[in-house]
Amino acid sequence: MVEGAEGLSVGYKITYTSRGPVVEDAGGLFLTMRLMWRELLSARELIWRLFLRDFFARYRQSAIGIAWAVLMPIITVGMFVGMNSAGILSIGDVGIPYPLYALIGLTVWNVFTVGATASSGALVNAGAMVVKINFPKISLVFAAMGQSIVETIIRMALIALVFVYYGIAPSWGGLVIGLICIVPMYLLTTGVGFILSLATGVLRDIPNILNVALIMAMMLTPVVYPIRGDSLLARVNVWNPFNYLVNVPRDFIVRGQTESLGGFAVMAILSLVVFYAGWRVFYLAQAKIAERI
Amino acid sequence: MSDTVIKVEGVSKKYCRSLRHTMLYGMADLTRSFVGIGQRGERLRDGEFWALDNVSFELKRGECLGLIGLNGSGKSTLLKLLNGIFMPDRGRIEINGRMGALIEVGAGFHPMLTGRENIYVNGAILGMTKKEIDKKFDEIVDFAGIGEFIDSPVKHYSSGMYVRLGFSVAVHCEPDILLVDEVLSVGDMDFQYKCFKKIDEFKRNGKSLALVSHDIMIINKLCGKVIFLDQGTVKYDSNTGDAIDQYLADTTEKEVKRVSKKFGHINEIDKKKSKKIFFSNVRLCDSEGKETNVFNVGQPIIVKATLDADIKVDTPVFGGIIYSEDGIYLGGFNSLSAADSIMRSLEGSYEIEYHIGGLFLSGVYHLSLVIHDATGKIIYDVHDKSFSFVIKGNAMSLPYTGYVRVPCEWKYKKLSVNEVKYGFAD
Repeated sequence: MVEGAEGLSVGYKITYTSRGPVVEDAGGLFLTMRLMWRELLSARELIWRLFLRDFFARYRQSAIGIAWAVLMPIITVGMFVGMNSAGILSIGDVGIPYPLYALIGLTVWNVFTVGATASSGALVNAGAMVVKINFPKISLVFAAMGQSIVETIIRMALIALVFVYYGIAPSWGGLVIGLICIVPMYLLTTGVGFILSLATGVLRDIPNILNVALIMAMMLTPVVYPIRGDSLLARVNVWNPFNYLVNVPRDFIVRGQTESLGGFAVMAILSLVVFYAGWRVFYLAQAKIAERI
Repeated sequence: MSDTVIKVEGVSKKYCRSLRHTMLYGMADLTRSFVGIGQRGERLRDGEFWALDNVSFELKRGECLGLIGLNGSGKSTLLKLLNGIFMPDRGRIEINGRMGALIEVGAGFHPMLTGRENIYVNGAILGMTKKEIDKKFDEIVDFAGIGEFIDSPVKHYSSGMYVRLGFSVAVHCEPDILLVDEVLSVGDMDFQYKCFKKIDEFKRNGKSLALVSHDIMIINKLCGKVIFLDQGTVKYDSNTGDAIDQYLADTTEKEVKRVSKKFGHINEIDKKKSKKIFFSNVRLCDSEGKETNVFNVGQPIIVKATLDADIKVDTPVFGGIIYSEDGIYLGGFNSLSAADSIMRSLEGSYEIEYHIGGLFLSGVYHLSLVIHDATGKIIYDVHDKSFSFVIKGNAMSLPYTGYVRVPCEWKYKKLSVNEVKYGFAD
C-alpha cells in the first residue's frame, strides 16, 4: 500500500454514481479495457485463493479425498477402453483406436461443459458474499474456470496413459499445436460463463436450461463420432463453432494436421470476441447485479 | 487532497417489494446495460419504493459517524452504498481512501476449511495480499482468541469464535475508512472491549468510521456526529447528543404505542387464565402523578398498580426488574426492601406504588412486574418486560455515562515535590 503525503492510501479515490463506479483522475483511450485489466491484476491473489478453496473444500470429509478428482475421469476412460475391447462400439475407422478418439474429443468438450456449469453458478452460489462485501466479482468466474482447467489436465494425463496402452505415439509437434488449439475453447467458455453467471443472478432457470442445452449440443457436435459425407448434420456443423474447437485440437493431436484450419481461425477470433464481450458486460453490470441476487 | 474521505450528495436508492419484480426489472436493467442505454433510475416503477431518499453528508478524516434509526430505516443500505456493493439510483458518493467493511463478518468463510485457510481466503476477499496476511497472521489469530482451534474446520467453531475470527481479519486489513454494521454486539465482554480498543486506536491514527448500531451507548461512546435515519430520509444530522435525544423521543412515541397495544393484550389473557391474584392496572407516573412513559434524567419514576386478590395470601411479595433496551438485567427491587411496609396478608383490592429514584441515564428501559409468595416459589402474576419507559436527556452533556448514575464523590490535592518523588509520605 502506497502512503500518500497526508497518510491516506493513494489509488483509492472512487465515485459511485447511478451508472456505476467512476475512477477519478482516469481517462483516455480504452479506459474501460484498462480498468478491466487493472481489476484482473488486482484480483489474481483472490482468484487463486477462491480456486484453492473450492477445490479442496469439495474433497473434504470424503474417504478417498482428492483421489476423486482422478477417479472420475479414470472411470470414463475405462468405460470406453472396455467397451471397445468388448466390441460394443462400431463407429468405423477413425484412424486411431476409437477410445482415444472419443476421450480426446470428450476432454476438449468437457472444457465447455465443466466451465459453463461452474461459472453459471459462480455468482449466485457466492450470494451472501456478493451482497455483503465489495470485491472484484470477476474472480468468482475465473476461479470457476480453474476447475475446468484442472479437470482437463488430469484427463490429458490419463489420455497419455491410454496412448501408451495402445502403443501409439502422437507427433510431438502436433501434440503441442493441438494443446494450444484448446485455448480458444477456454476463451469461449469464459466469455459465455460471464454472461451465464449474470443471467443466473436474475433468472434461476438458467442452470436447468443449461443442462439440457449441453446434452443437446453434445449430440449435435461431432464429439464422440466423426462426420462423414454430406448430411443435414454435416451442413449444420459447418456453422457450429464447437465442431471446430473440438475437432481441430483432436486432429492435431491424433494426426498432426487438419483440414479445417480456416474455419478454426474464424471461430478462434469469434471466441476471443465472445470472451472480451462477456468480460466487459460482466465488468459493467457487476455493480447492478449485486442487489438482484 | 482534501480532508473529506466520504462525500454523499443527494443519494437515493430504490428497492423492489416482490421477487417477481426483482426478476423482471433485473432483466430489463441488465439488457439495458448490455446495449448501453442509460438506466432509468429517476422514476419508481410499479412495486418499488425508495429505501433511501436524498441523503447527503460528509465525513472527514478521524471522524466517527453514527447511523441510528429504527429497523428498516435504511442504515444498512447506506453502508452498502458507501462500500460500493450497491450503486445509488440518484446522486453520487465520493470515496477517498481504502474502504474496509464489517458489514457481515466471516462472509466467504467455507465451513469445511480450517481457520488458517479461511483467514487467507477472507483476507484475499478483503483485498489483502498473501504477504500482508503472512505478516499479520499471528496478530489476527491472537486478536480473535482462537488458539489451537486455528487448524480445525470453522464448522466446528462456536458462533462467537466464528464472528471473532471474521472481525479480526477485517480489522487487520488496515482500511482508511471502516464501516461497521451492528457487529460489535456479538462476542463476549472481553472481545467487545478489544474491539473498542481497536476502534479507538483506529480513530487516533486519523482513520474514519461509519457505525450502525441500535445501541445508543456505543454510538454515544464512539461517535462525534450522528445521522438519524427515518424511512430512508435524514431526519436529524447533528452532534451526537442532539441526534440521540431526537432518536429517543421518536422511539418513545413508537414504544408507547407498542406498550399500550400490549397492555390490552395482557389483560385479555389475564381474564382467560383467571388468575387468583393479578395486576389489573399498571401506570408509570412522574413525580406530579401524571401518567407518562418519558422521564428526564434525574426525575423519579413512580410505578402505580392496582391489585386484585381473590384469595388470601400471607406475606405477598411485589417485585420489579429493570432491563436495558438490549435486555441486560440492570437491577431488581421488591416490597421486602422497606421493612416498615411489608404487607402481612393480602385479600381484596389494593393500590400499590413504587418510587424509583432518578437513577437511570438516557435510553429505553423495560420493566417487569411480578407477585409471588414469601418463598418466591409460587408466582401469582408476572408481566415480563411489559412496561417500557424512556429517559430523556442530553447524553453528551452529562457527567455520567452508562445506564445508571453512579453516586460518586470526588476530591483532589496537589502533591508536593517530595511526595511526587517518593510517593505519599505517610
